[in-house]
Amino acid sequence: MFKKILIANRGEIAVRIINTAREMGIKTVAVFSNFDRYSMYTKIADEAYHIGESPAAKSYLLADKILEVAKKSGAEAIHPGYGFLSERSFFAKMCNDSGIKFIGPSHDAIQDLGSKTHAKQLAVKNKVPVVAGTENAVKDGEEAKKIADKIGFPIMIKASAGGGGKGMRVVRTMDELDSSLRMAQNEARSAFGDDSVFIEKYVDSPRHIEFQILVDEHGNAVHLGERECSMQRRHQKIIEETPSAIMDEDLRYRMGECAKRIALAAGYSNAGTVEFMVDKDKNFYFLEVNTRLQVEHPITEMRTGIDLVKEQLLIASGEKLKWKQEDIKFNGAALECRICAEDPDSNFMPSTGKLKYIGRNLGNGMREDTGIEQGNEISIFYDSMIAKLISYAPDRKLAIEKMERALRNYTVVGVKTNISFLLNLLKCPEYIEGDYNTQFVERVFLPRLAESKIEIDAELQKALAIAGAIFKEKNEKQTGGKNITSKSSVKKSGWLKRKDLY
Amino acid sequence: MRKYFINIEGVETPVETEFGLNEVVFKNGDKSNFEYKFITDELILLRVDEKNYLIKSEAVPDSEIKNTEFILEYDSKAYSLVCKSELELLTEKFARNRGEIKIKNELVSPMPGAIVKINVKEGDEVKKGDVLIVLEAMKMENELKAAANCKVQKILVEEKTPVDKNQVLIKFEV
Repeated sequence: MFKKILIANRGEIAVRIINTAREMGIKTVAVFSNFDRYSMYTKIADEAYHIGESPAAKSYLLADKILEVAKKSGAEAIHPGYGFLSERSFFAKMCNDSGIKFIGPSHDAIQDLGSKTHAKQLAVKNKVPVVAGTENAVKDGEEAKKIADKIGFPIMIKASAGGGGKGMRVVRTMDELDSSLRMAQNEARSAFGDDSVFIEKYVDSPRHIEFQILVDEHGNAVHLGERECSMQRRHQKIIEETPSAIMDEDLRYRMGECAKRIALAAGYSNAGTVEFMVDKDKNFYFLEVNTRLQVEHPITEMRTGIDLVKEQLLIASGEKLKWKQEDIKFNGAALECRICAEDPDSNFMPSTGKLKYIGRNLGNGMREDTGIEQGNEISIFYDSMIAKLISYAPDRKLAIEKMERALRNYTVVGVKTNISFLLNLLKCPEYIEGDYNTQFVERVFLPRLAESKIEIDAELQKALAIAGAIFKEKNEKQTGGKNITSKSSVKKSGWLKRKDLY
Repeated sequence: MRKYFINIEGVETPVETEFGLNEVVFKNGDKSNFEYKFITDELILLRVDEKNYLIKSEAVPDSEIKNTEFILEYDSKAYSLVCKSELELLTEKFARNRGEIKIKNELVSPMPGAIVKINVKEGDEVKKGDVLIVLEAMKMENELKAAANCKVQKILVEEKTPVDKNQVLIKFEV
C-alpha cells in the first residue's frame, strides 16, 4: 500500500479522500490555490502546497505543477477526485509515465469511454442495449430520412461533441426533420466547432439510473447496485437515492451484468459508474461511463457498507477485490441532498458571499460530507455546493423522514440556499411515491411551486411581527438613529436628496 | 411604548403592535410575552409565549425607506414583511403625495461574471419578467429579468465583457 498520496482536488471531496487515507495510515498531500490557502482540506492534510491562483485553469488544472508537487513531496499516487483533471486521459498518462500511480482507470480506458461514439460501439459489441440510432455522423438530409424511417419517431438529433443540451433537437415528424437537422448542425458548429451530429431514438421522460462498479487490475468486477438520479434540473442532480423505486432483482441483475461487461471490455479498472436511461416499460439503454468517483457515491457506501475510496486505493495498489458479486449485500435505503448556495427564487442563480453562520444538528442516521466551515466564502471560482447530506435508514420512508428533519435543522446565514426547495421536493407526492423521471422537476414541480400560496397561522403571524420589530430596532441601533435612509436610496430618491433643504 | 404597523405577505389588515419591555399587545387586544437572543446579526432565537422560533432576516437592499422591508425565514419558508413606525408612515404618505418615491430605475449585476447576451436595445419597452441580459457566472448562465414594465433608456455594457458585482448594466426611463 502507498505511504503517501496527493489529492489533486479541493473542497468536500478532498476532505472525503483525506479522511479515508488517514484511517488507512496513509499520509496526504493537499494542493491549493490562493483561495483555498486555509480551507478545511488544506488544514487537515498532512502537507499542503500552493499551486497557483484561484481560477481553476491557473491551479487545479495545472497538470505539470501538480505532478511536480507529487514528486517533491514524495507522494506515490495521485487521487484526482471528481471534476478538474479526473477524466483527462492525458493526466493519467502523465502520472503513470513519471512513475506516480493514477488512482483510477488506465488512460486508454478513460479515452475509449470518454468518446460517446466509441463507448456506444463498445456497448453494441458486448450486447449492452443502447438507444437505436446511428453509430457514425449523419451526412445529409437524405440519410437522416432513411434512418428516421428505420427507427421511427420521435428521434433525437445530437451533436457528437455535445453536452449541456447544445446541438440537441427532438424531432417528432418527418416534416420537421430537414430544418431541425440544419439547426442542430449550426448549433453544434458554433458551440463545439464541429457540426457532426448523429441520430437516435428519443426516449420520452426517461429515468436516469446508474450503477456503481469496482474493477480490480486482475480482471475481477463487482457492481454495488444502482443509484436513482432522475431528480434533476437542467442535467444537474438534486436528490439521489438507492435503491431505485422501480428496481427489482431481475432488472438489477441484468443492468449490473451489463455494467460489468462494458467495463471489462474496455479494460477498465478502479471505481466507475455506468449510466443508463430507463423508460416507462423498464427497458434500459446504456448512456456512458463516468471514469471516476461520483459526487453521489456516499449513498452506495451507506447501503453496502463499503468505503469506495478505500477500495480505490486498494485496487490502485494492485490488490485483488475481496468480494465476489454474491458477497455484496444491500441493506436499507439511502438518499443524498446537495445543499447549494443558490437562489431557487431567481432561477437558481448562484449566491456568493461569506458563510456567517452554519447551524446543524445531524444526529442519528445522517452523514454530512462537506469541505466548508463557518466563516468560509462561497466564491465565483468553484461550484456552489455547501454540503452533501446523506440519510440512511432501514427503509426509504424512514430515510426521507430523517433527511427532512436534518434539512429543517440546517441553517445557513450569509448566502441563499436551496434548502427550502429540497424540503418541498421531499414532501411532494410524486417523490414520496418514487414516481418521477428526469423531466419531473422542470415540467411538473417548478410550475406547481410557482403557483403555491403561502399560509400563515395566527401564532406564526405574531411571531413574525415581533421578529420584524426586533430586527428593525437592531438595525436602527446599528445605524445610530431612526428614519435614516440607506445609501442606495439616497442616490435614487429626490426627496431624500433635498431633505437638507427643508 | 413603541408602536409599529406591520404587514405580512401583503395581508390586508396590518398587524398593529405596541411593545412593552418583553410584552407585546396586538391590534386585536391579544397579548404575548417574548424573549429573544441574537445568534448572528441576521438570526434570532425568539420565544413567544414559551414557543421557540428560529428566524432569519434577509437583507432587502431596495426598500424605499430604509429598514422597513424584511424577508423573514422560518422553518425554511420565507415571508415578506413591512414594518413601519408612525413617523415612517407619515413620511411615506407625504412623499407619495408629492410623487417623489421612485421605482428602481437600474438593472445591476448581482454578481461578478461575463455578459453572454443582451436581449434588448435602447428604447425598447419591456415587460415585467422579460429576460434582459444573460450573465455567465460560476459556470452557469443566469437570466436577469425586468422587475417592472418600463422602457430601456441606456445600455451600459456590451456582450462578452466582464462585469463586477453591483455594476449598473441598464438604465430605465421611469
